[in-house]
Amino acid sequence: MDAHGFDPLIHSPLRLRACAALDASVAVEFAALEELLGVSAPTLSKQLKVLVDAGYVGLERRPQHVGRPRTWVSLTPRGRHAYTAHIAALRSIIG
Amino acid sequence: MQEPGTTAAAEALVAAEQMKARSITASLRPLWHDLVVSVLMGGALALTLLPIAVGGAVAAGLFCLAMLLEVVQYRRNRVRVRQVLDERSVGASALFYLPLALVVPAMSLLRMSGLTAEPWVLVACWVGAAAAIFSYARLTQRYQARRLRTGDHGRYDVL
Repeated sequence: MDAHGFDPLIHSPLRLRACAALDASVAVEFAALEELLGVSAPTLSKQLKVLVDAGYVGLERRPQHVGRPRTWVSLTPRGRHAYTAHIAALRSIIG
Repeated sequence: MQEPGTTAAAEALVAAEQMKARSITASLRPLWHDLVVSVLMGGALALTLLPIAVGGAVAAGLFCLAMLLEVVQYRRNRVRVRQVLDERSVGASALFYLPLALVVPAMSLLRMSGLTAEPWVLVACWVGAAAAIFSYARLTQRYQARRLRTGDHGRYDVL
């Protein structure tokens, strides 16, 4: 992240859209996020891993009463801050 | 990566806003759900105008069905997208309960007037109650969507 809040890690199109989808929710189930973004599970996993490694996104695997466990994706406080700063930086570029 | 130019930044912002709007829409109740629940609740309310032995069981059935749909929808949303908590919308809902306090005296007045036996009164009550409940349900959804879209929620709403 630079001094203006622009974050190259978030700016990648898919990661930016993933952060935007997560910004309005507490958490989104992995399959729901996959559906929202219109990408395959491996592609989403790969992009989320970058965000997880940066500490921007958290993954939580939760068992269900019925069926296999589901993975929940959420922005960490750090990720939410970085996303907000990145959006502000984009707005300042537009002027 | 270098900072994008004006056009690229604008495109990125539009893409982010569109995705946020889609995510918000996914976390809201669908229109058909609010419509069905409103019709069921309106029916339950209108049937209370009939003597309890006649309309009581059907009214209770409609009410239970509406509640069941609410629970199913709530669980469906919680399984897919966990919403941002919105404490202020609870305060906004308080205004809705003020007119509700007038429903009971209004029903009593109708019963005393003897108009309740008229089918058109039942239908008018059904339609009126359903329309009021539907309008309220959609207004709260729009209010929630608007606030989430602009990020207008307290920091502690996001857990």
